[in-house]
Amino acid sequence: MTLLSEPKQEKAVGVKRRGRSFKPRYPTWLALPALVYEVIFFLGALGILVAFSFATQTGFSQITYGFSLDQYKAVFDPLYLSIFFRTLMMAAIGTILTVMVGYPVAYWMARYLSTYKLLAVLLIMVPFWTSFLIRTYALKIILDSQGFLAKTFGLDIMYTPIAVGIGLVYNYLPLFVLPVFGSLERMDWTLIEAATDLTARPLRAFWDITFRLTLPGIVTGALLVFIPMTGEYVIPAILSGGKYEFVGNLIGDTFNTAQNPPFGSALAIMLMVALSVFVVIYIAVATKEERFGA
Amino acid sequence: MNSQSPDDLNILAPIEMKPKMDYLHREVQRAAGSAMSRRKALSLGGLALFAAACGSTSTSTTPTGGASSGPASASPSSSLAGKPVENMLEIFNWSEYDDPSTYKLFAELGPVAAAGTKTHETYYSSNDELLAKLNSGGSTYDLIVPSQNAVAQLIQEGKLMALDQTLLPNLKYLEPSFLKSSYDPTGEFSVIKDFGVTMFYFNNKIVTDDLKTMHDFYMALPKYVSKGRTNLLDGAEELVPLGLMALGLDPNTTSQADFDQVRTFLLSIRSGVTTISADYIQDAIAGKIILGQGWNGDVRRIVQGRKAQGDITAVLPTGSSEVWSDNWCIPLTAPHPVAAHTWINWLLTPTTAVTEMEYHSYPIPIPDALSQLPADMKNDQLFNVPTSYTDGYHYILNVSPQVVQQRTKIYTEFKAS
Amino acid sequence: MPRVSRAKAGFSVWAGVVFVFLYLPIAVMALFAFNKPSEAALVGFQGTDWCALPPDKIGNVSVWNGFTTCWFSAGLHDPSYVPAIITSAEIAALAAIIATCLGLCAALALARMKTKIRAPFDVLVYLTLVVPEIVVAVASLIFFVQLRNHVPFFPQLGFWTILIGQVVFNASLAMLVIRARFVGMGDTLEEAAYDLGSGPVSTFRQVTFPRLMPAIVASALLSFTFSFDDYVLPAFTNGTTNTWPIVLYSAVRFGITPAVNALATIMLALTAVAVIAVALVLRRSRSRTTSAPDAVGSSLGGMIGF
Repeated sequence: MTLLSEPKQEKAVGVKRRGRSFKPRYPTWLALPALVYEVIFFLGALGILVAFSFATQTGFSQITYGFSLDQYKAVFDPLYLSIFFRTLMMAAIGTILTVMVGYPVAYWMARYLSTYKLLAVLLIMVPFWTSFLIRTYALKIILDSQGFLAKTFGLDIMYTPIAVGIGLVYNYLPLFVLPVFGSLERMDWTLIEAATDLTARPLRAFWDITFRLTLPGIVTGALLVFIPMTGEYVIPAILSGGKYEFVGNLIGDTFNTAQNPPFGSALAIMLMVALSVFVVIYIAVATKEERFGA
Repeated sequence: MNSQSPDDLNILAPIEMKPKMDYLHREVQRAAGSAMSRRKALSLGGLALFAAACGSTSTSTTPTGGASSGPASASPSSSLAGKPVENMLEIFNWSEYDDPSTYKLFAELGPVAAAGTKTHETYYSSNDELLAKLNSGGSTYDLIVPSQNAVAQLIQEGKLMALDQTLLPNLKYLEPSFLKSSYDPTGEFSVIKDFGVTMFYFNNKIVTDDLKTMHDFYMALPKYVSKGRTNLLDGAEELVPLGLMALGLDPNTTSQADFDQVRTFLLSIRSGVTTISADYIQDAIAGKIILGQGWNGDVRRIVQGRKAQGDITAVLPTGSSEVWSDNWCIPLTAPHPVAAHTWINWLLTPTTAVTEMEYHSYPIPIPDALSQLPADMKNDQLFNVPTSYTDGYHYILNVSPQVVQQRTKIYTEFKAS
Repeated sequence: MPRVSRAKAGFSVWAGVVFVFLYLPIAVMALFAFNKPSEAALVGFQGTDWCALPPDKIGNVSVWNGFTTCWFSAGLHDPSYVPAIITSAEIAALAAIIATCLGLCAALALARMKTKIRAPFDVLVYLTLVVPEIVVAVASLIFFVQLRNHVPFFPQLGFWTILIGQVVFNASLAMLVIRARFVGMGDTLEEAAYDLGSGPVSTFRQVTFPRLMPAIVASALLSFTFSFDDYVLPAFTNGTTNTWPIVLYSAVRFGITPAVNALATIMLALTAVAVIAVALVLRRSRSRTTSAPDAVGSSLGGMIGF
């Protein structure tokens, strides 16, 4: 039985310690290198984007700066709104599928494996070490209309949203399984044993204890999967046969094909705004998780 | 950030100034006799910049830097004659677009071998990507291979170097009608690499109609889609102009009425399209596509790949369709322009052109080379497309930002519906 | 307890199915590394090395044509593939090291800071994870070129700009991973070390750092993985540098050849050797004591908990 009871101990000690003056701390300036780095190379780049989004295009690769809200108004075209909506829906479906596929695996790894835990973690990560492009093309061979699945089971799903969904789950599964496994791993399994000893049915014990305790981990993992999925564009392009438009494709096309950085920037910023709702949840949950240590 | 005057903040560079700066940078570099950073060169060339900016009288404005390399000519190209080949050549190209032996033999050319020129290549997968890189201003490429629409745009933006014809004696081998084109009217900025047309193909065991024009092709899509996969070429610059041509309209139209018409037309056949992809060759050879658009070199491969089954009919559309070209160009900022010219000249050698055509299967308009090709190539209409077809075909261009945006919006709507 | 073992069997079967799902495409990829060019393509081909055919003349290789090993040597001798893989590995390794160092320092400083003070930093970190990569890529390209024009020491687009761009995302990730572990492990032991007269530096070296090790290793591994597999950002900021995903993506125009599969298979085999080594070590440690692997497993839980 593996258990990591440190958080509990810590809490107990923390209570006793209250009133003492000493607490180990690291100097604040240690955060400076990372802070400076992100401010320069991330906010700097993002600043350009914000400046673009208020500018107007005056020629190929030529824009005039100013303060125009036209680009933002253009985002509210029903066409673009429907693409936003569809992307969020598709990412949501992809995330739910990932959770459904991945949670039991993480649970299995944390609950039933001991010696080969590390091996299982590595096995989850190894697919990430071949290129996603090769992986997706290999998936295409499997899902092909004249391929193994279609011929043997009559499952012809290539170039449908289902194929895109499978591709998303396939490429994002490790990103979900690992954090959830981490959170399950830190759980105190003796609670489950206590509950079953007290004649709780296993399913009930799972629902009341395991699921609740690992919910923050699930939410964190789900958002880590959901957010990049909304910006995805290579996987949908390959597995939908190029006819399933994600916001990612739209932004890419606007910057590159239409050569219209102002509108592309406005689209990107609107996507960030739409996602910020989820980020707020993420931050809240992540902070809560840290506080309770589970 | 937005409070200052708009001109100060033109991050993408004041366009009319850029060529001058880049040209100056090169001049100063040359004067100093060695490669140096752009920044260093600009500070060094401060005086020269001043001179270039005020004094339009182009009498010897010798750049600072000590080395008196004679009067800097106003035309960058003419100053290249007699310069030695540089020790580096940086090519920005489509992937797998030139025969490996072409690189090897280039390195063995007299002046190139003497200079020990090292050739390095980076790849892009679309003209958009190429333009994005060049537009950002950070280009250090010596040689690029834009298609006709990108060539026209880059000329308009002043991002290309006027080629030095004295360094390209092999231009004499080129079919004269290809020396100048609608996208490069003076022929100064580009040399054609190869060209092709957009056509379509279908599985004749399934599609039984006699399809002749692009319009026939589009109309057959909804009819046959239930029988198997249909494919259109992707990209706004393909989808919309090809649709316009199917309707008998100008592919480079600026008319809103035309755009409305093509939008309605494309949306009406949308349900007949399974995939929109440029990555169709492998699948078509595997027999997975029953009806699709393609470039003639690719379609030729498909026909050859399905020879055993004999089920592919390739159609060069009568009426209007697309003709495209890929071209050698030298960016104005190229650090190694002499090596780049030497490369272009080498590729214009008939023997090289023969090797190249056998490798990439697209025609290079060099009569001496075409005549040396094996009969199964030069007599194949899919390779050597007769002018009776191409005379009615059009180059697709990036007419204006507005037109490109119209096309992109229709394309987005088409894909999203 | 039959019920528990039934549940265990259920979970094990599901896990088995998922691992098959994860590895089936990879198996297909490895299998097709041994695929011959199609019969039609070989008609009239003179020579011994089938794989010397140009990529657009190998015919249909998405169906099985026959066995050959020549793609391995073709892949290894390709002038652009192997250098690109090496470049990608170099960038990924540097990105992993730099991101982990930045992330470690920030995690140490921030973990025990008041929420209000660290909130802006938190928002910044989450923002880097949220912005779609295509957006970061385009903005970075323009930004880097401008920096190059205005800052004397800033490198030209290439190796270093790819690295700089990737560290942004990876440092945030490392910070989150390490901080989760740091907060989770509590300060009891550190406090004890202080009480026993150990100074801040030696406490860090002897107590904190070893206990953070799993998280440090995990964030370095994750950074390496993401950086190595990244296409979008390098595609914009690469200048004249080729990375492995860039070479692959541009090759798609002609269809990916089995030579690409062969190289991916070689990389996979190397990884597999490493993984098997880990498995053997675990096995040995189990035969000695039963508690050691549990410790490995537990620390692992902390190491990847976000």
